[in-house]
Order: sequence, then structure tokens, then C-alpha cells
Amino acid sequence: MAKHRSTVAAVDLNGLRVLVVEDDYFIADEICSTLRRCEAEVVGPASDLQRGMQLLHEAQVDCVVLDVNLHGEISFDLAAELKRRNVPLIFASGYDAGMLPEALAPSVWLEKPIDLAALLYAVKAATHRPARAVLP
Amino acid sequence: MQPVGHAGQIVATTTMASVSLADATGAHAIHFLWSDGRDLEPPSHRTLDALCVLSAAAAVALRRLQDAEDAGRAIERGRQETFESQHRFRNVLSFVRSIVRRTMQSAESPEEFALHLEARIGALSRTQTTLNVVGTAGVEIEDLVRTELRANAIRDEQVDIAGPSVRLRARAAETMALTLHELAINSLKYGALSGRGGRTSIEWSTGSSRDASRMQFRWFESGVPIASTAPRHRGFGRELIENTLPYELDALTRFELTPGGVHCTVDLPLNLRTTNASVAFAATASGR
Repeated sequence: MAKHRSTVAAVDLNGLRVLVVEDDYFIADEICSTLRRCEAEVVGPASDLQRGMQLLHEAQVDCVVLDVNLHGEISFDLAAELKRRNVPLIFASGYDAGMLPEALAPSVWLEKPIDLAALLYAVKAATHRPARAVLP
Repeated sequence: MQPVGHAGQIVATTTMASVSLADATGAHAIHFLWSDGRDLEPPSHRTLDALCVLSAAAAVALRRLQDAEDAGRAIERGRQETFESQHRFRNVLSFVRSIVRRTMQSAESPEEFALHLEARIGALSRTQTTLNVVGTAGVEIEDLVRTELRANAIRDEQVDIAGPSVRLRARAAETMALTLHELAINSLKYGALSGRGGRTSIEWSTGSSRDASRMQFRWFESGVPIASTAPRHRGFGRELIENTLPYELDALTRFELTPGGVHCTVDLPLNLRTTNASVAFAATASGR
């Protein structure tokens, strides 16, 4: 049992810097370790919006995985800032996509519990990386 | 006669008078306007009789308008509540999935996996039940402690429990409850609650320094003769204490296996993330 390995498909994210903003430790850890297994460089994770914004100013990032409700604060301002900077954005939320404001549509929206394989494909698609076969 | 109108609309009723159901600001009001635009002449009996009918009609119309607005607000509130409860439900499911993954990674056998998983989901479910009852008021830390001990058949006289009232919000309550669960299970297996002597003391206090109020929570075991047989690998409990609590709630934590038993401290900021507003501010104001 202890030898359990994730069955998430191999997607090559080598060279990508991904900022993760998520207030739940276990979800953040799952997202980060999944991204790292695919060779992405993780920035963060940030557990609140202030820290997320700070990391965004400090580091060049290729993509952001963004929770919607962080300790009761809604992340749409940060999302709008990302749109302005043309930084690809993937929402990961327990909310229904119906609450996305029109100004932020269309955005990639993954519902929790997050399908980690879908997240990897979303990061890859959002950053326009050419597909490359990777053997497990 | 046309008794129902919407805000701002002037409803003609008789040739003598008209009634407006709301003023320009949208506030509910009844205005009577004489049709000739003058109110210098005292109204005739006929006019006053008509006024009685008009008043009644206007009151009914206002009442319908209010009902319609209430219904509109109720629908919007219902929509928000659906969003929020769906959000909460999905978060709990995500938490369960994380617990399953973590338990699977550390379990040595399918039996151990099932045993630990059931116990952890039990602890989470007890907290959910309490949260549903108390709502936004928050869960008393003492209730979390006693509930967890009772669920594991630990009697009150086996532990010293003391501390002031602190009400924890949902996330803090869930994480603290699971932490207490892991500490209790560990203590039952290897520590002061394993029946080999020793005491467990669970105490907490509140205080504030400069701009922040905090709760210092301590789980101290003493007089445990063979604490060294306890597994030293980092399990789910230590991950909760050393990673989850600092990451999610900015807690300062410490977990030590001393020769006398487990010493665990959780120094938790009392703010809007962890407790409800009145408690956070009351603690700061009183300077305790």
C-alpha cells in the first residue's frame, strides 16, 4: 500500500513556471506534486490572495492555477489582473462555473474535487506547448 | 378602479383623486393627489368616502408589492445558499479524497488502511454534524476535544481538560478535530491513554500581543514509560500539525516525542479565518 503511485498520465511540462494559489493544504500539495512530477516548476503555493499577488509580482509565471474562495475572499480581482497581463489562468473551485463573471469568461474552470489529469492537460493547453509523447 | 401599480406609478382611481404607490426614491409611501391640483378647499363627504376606499386599495397594493419584493429576495438568497452549500459539499468531498490518498500512502496493509480511513472519516463527519448545528457561531474548542475523546471511549477522568471559550470556524474546526483525533489515537496506542500509566493534559489559553489575538493549545503527556516504541515516521497526524495548520491558518506548531510522552503545541491566530468576528475582536479589546 505504501508503494502507491499516482496513475495520473505523464504530460511534459518541463520549463513551465506555474503559480498555485489555493488555501487548502492537501489540495495545494496534490496540485504541486502532480505538476512537479511532470517537470513543471511550481511557484508558491500561496494560501491567500495577498501572497498570490506578491508572488505574481516577484516571479515570471507561465500559468496560474487559482482557487476562487480563499478564506472567504473571492479571487476575481487577481484573475482580472492575470487577464490584463495575458497570463493563462485555470480556476480550480468548489463553486459551479455559473458564478464566473462575464468579464472573466471564457476561462478554464475545473470543479473540485479536481481531476489532476485534467489539470495537467489544461496547463499544457493553456500554455500552448506542442504535444510530445512521454513514456511512463 | 385599478388598485395595483408598481413603484412610482400613479394609479387613477376616480376623477377626484389618484394614488401613488411609491415615491421617486422607491420607498413605499401613499400619496393622495387631488385631481384639480389644489387642496385648499376642505374635502367633501363624498371625497372622504372615496378616500376610505382608496386607502384600502392602496394598502392592499403596497402589501402585494412588498410580498413580490420579499419573494424576489428569497429567490436570490436561495440561489446564493445553493452556491454556498454546493461549495461546502465539494470542499468536504475534496478533503475526504485527500484523507483517502494520505491514508493509502502510509498504510502498511489493506486492513490498516480501512481502519484508519474509517476513523478519520468518522472524525470529519462528527465535526460536520456539529458545524451544521452551530452554523456561523463556530464550534467550541472544548466541545471538539470532548467529542473526540468520547468517540474513542476515553473517559473524562483520564485527561485534564481546561481552557476558556474559543469558537472555531468551519475550516479551523475541521483541521483541529482531525488533529485531536490523531493525537488521541496515537495516545491510545502508545501514549498516556494506552493504560500503561501517565497523564494527558489538554489545555488552552488565549492572549494577545500587539495587534493579534492567539490561542495557545497544548496536548501534553507525561509519565509515559515506553514512548520510544511509537513509530517515528511522519504520519497523517504530524502532517496536519506541521504542515496543514501552519499553511492554512498561520498557526505556529510543535510536535515532540519526549521520553515522557507527546508534547504538542498549536499557537493559533484568532482572526476572521479561524474564529467569528465578535470573539476575535473581544479578545483583542480585553487585552487578555
